[in-house]
Amino acid sequence: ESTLALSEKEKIEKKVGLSSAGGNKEEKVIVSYWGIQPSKITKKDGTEWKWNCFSPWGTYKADLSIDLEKHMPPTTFLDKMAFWTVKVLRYPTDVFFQRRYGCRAMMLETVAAVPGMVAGMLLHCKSLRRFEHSGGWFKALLEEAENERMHLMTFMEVAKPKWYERALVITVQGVFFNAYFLGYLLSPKFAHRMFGYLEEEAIHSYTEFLKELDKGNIENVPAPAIAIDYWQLPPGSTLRDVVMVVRADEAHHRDVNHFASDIHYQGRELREAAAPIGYH
Amino acid sequence: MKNVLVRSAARALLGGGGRSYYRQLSTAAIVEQRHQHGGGAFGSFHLRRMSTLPEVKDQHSEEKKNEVNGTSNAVVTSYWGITRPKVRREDGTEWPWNCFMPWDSYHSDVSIDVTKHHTPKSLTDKVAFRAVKFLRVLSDIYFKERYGCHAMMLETIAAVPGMVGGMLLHLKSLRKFQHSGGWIKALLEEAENERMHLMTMVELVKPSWHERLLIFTAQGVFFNAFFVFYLLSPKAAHRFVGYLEEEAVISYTQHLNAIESGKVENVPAPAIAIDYWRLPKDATLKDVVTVIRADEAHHRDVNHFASDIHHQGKELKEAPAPIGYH
Repeated sequence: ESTLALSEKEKIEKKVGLSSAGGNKEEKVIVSYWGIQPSKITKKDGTEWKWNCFSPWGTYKADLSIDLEKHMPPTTFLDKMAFWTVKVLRYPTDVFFQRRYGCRAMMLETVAAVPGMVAGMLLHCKSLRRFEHSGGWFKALLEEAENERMHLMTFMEVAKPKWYERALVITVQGVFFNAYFLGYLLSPKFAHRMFGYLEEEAIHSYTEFLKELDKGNIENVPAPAIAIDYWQLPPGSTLRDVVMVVRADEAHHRDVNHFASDIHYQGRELREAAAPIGYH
Repeated sequence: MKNVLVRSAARALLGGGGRSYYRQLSTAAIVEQRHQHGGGAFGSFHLRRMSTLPEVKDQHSEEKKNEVNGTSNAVVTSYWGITRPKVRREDGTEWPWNCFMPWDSYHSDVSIDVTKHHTPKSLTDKVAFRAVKFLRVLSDIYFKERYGCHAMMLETIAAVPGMVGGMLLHLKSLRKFQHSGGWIKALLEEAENERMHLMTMVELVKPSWHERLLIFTAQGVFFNAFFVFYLLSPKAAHRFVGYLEEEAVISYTQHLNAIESGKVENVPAPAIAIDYWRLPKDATLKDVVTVIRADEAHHRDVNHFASDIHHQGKELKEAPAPIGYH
């Protein structure tokens, strides 16, 4: 069955014809000197692919059948600490955003894209330092970060950020990046568990978001073009469909991070278990 | 004596004897399929162990451990519904690597011009060029003619800039609510590619303890230095990496010459390299070094290109990134 996916990808690759479209003259000179050509990619229906930030083979259909209710009951001290850290962080966000879920989702995603990146980077450096294989985990974690960033790119189209929100994001990123970096260095077990709980809260927020959409308090606008291409949604999809797939993504990330933490709890290292690459 | 045993065991494993090893282990942790993946490309699922050399050493005890932990592990796996898809090669044999998938492997374009050089013009160019030349003198003194070792140490350093650059672009994209033009992915791909070079070289050269210590220090210093460097001037940082790759190309050319003149033994290529670069089954070290050199030449192009974009006063996201350029 996997050869099927392979041949599919090859087909797409063949479609990637080389052409020097776009850009001004200067750019073309550089391009030809370094031999780097902007590739022209077309969609399955023959129209031009307009996104630079992801390619057709980066898209997927989200698995909406995933169990959203799953919860990891905190048992050990570390788990409880992770759980309550997230609960405490939840409180000020509730106060700040109230019922503006679009905005809230956007802000959450700017934070949610950090842990995957930090963890992936640290695993990469560790793999280099110790001359060890990584078991694909660092790719899985980077994929997760990239996926969260795509959520942000989607919600950005729906809710335009205001200046004070931008300022807030810069501050929060500065603090959260460093805190998570240290946290991951000290205890990957704790860091993954905490992120797992964070994702559980994210699912809860998106469920609330869906309720508001259904009630009509938030307008069910058409889905942004980027979302339709990224999740292979049918044309004519609405914001509700987007929130559904994003919520499914978060549920998958929850599984990955709790799983990673469980591996650490069993006294093993991540590289000993195969990473869930392409789990979404 | 122990070393010899380990090495021969490793060779047997890499040479295809390893398949039974996987089968034995994976039966301990077979879990039922609970999840339909997006691509629909996966059949039954296995949880598998990595195939690294250190684990070969105590293959027996590992197996025992796995039997003991197997049940609990399977429970955890099925609870979170996470399993590794069973991947096959094009010829139907099982895919032994966790760290990269068949769709990550590629044919390297060895026809690339390896002699291309960017002449430093601006001040930042010159600073970057001199910095690289200075580092080159130091490494030449340290390694002399031990090419394999030299290559291995270089790769541990070379995998850092892509990672740092990718991470900083990622964070910038988040902070500014901007698209990235695919550069994050391109730079991370570069880092991953360099790490695969390292994984290949490690199979050929065993690092000694003082080399490990050196790597530890060098990574700590270089990571932080490059982080700050990239924050201050991405222009100079990309140029620096471009020149670093030029030096890498030169080193690999010397390595090739040494192989041709017989100074370095032309051993068979490690299995991981054959799968990663889709080399023929009887490929040798020479083929591996040739494709690695081509990779480095591609990275040189990408980084000089990125620096050129900055030199024109533009941002990376304005030009589409060269994803899959290798």
